Amino acid sequence: MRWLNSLTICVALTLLLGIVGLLADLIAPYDPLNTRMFRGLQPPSNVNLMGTDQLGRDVFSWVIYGIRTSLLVGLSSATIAVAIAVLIGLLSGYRGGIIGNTLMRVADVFLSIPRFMLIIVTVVLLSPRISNIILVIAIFSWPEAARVVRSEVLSIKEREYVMAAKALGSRDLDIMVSEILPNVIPTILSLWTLIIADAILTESALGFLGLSDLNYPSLGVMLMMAKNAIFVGGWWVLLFPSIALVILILVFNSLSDKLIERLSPRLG
Amino acid sequence: MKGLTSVFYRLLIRLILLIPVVLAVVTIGFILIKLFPGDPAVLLAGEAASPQYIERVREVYGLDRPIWEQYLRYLEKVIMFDLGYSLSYKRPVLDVILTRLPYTIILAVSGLSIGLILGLLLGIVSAWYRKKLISPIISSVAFIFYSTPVYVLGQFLIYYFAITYRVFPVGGVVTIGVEHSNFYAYILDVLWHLTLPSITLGLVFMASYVKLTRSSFLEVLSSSYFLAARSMGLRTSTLILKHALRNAIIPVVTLAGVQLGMLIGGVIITESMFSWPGIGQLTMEAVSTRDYPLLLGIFIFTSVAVVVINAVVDFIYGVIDPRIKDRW
Repeated sequence: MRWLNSLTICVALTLLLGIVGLLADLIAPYDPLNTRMFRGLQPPSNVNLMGTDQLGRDVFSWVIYGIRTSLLVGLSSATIAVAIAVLIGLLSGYRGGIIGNTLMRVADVFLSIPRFMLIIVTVVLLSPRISNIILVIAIFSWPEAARVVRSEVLSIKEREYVMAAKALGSRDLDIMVSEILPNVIPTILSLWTLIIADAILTESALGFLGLSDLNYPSLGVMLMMAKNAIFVGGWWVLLFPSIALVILILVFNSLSDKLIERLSPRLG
Repeated sequence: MKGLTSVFYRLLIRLILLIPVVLAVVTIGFILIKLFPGDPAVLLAGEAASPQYIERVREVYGLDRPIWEQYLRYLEKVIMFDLGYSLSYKRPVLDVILTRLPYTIILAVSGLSIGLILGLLLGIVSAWYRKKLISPIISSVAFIFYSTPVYVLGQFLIYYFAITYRVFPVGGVVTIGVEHSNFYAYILDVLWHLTLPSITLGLVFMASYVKLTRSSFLEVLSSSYFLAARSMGLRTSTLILKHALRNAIIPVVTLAGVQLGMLIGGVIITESMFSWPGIGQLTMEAVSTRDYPLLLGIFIFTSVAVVVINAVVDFIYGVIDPRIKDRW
């Protein structure tokens, strides 16, 4: 499937998904949260393009808003996570020191315990509001990225141009920002898209387990509805949200792959 | 060759080095209790507890004391394997966890095995026939599986194999209401129930193994010792099994150990999807009944278990393959 392998197609699909998320209000024909019990579990038709779930909610509208929620959670938590990872990775890679090394130890601890379990427990204790979900995913996603950034920084800081900047008397902060950071950007971009895919997966998994913000339609919640719907023939409740979710994750995963290949060939 | 005593010595050191990590896990548990927006005594007693019991818990954990004393008391309790009392089960948390543990181990081990075997097989095929059409097909399929959430995959399997064609049961461990004539029949029934959940788990993990096997196999295929073996005119099966696989398998097996933490996430969802009564389903029961002591206990138990197993597995690799240096 060579068409999947092209960066252009990935970017185009990402933009398309972004537009769908942004214009959800215009695209979705119904309010996804609106329940109409008398129209429960209707098969796909002209009225409900993707049918309805047990509560009579329009699956098509839910999918459109679900993409918006996925992107909201994915983008914001990945951005926070990457920001933390870059700060800590730069600090501990370039300066080391007690703070830097302690932070990397903390990252190691987070990396060695089951992350999803930790996320579930934290979200349950803090109550599953959308802001909590975003923050919790972000806080438990930075460690791996920080490790990668740190190892990049460790190798870059030994390069001649960094030495030269040092010899010319540049301050550490200047070297970090203007010599090292620009060279880490390809890695950062790739990590960012990878964490977006992972955050979308985590958010929908939480929704599937019943841990979601009820005001923000989650693809995972519709898949939870599918658990019962498929027993009475409601395949559409499973099929359409699944396709949307897999495309979302697939696009961001391959975007990450392609970015690595394109921007820093030596890592691909 | 290193002596046996030195091996034990190194294992001991490795386990001692785990103490800070275990302490960190307990500390995270304590921080979680402190993060809880309500009364921590309610958290530790469970939401359905009587006022008297909540007061007792407050006293036992010293929740009216300064924070460092609370921390020390909590630490002391956890280190003595006291993970609290589950109100919904009316039993100590550790007891509840241990009764569910065997189911999780069975599911995790069979899922991981299926994933490993399929991953190795497909990875080898795709590396061996790298110039044929089959190779990119395998890679693409693996990539799609890699991006498919476990509950999407599982539900499609349920839809086709349990609901439409009724080949496998929808969930549970044994058929309800059936008297098994002998032990053999019982085991068969369990295996029949285990098939779909373990395949679900296996397919999800297969994807990452395919990728890794393929790249590590390709590396072996281009090495000079493999070229030498090939020029000796050995049969293809001997070449693959004896000369290539043995060297290509090391990074794949290492990944299997590293992924243990990820496996737990997959197990939680798979178990709750197939009503498989292991730790994962227990977690979701604790979530829905707001049984916080049980939930925190499961978190600490699985985290410590994963940390310890990872260290031991890592250590065994080091003994088997001396090229792998200690990572700590």
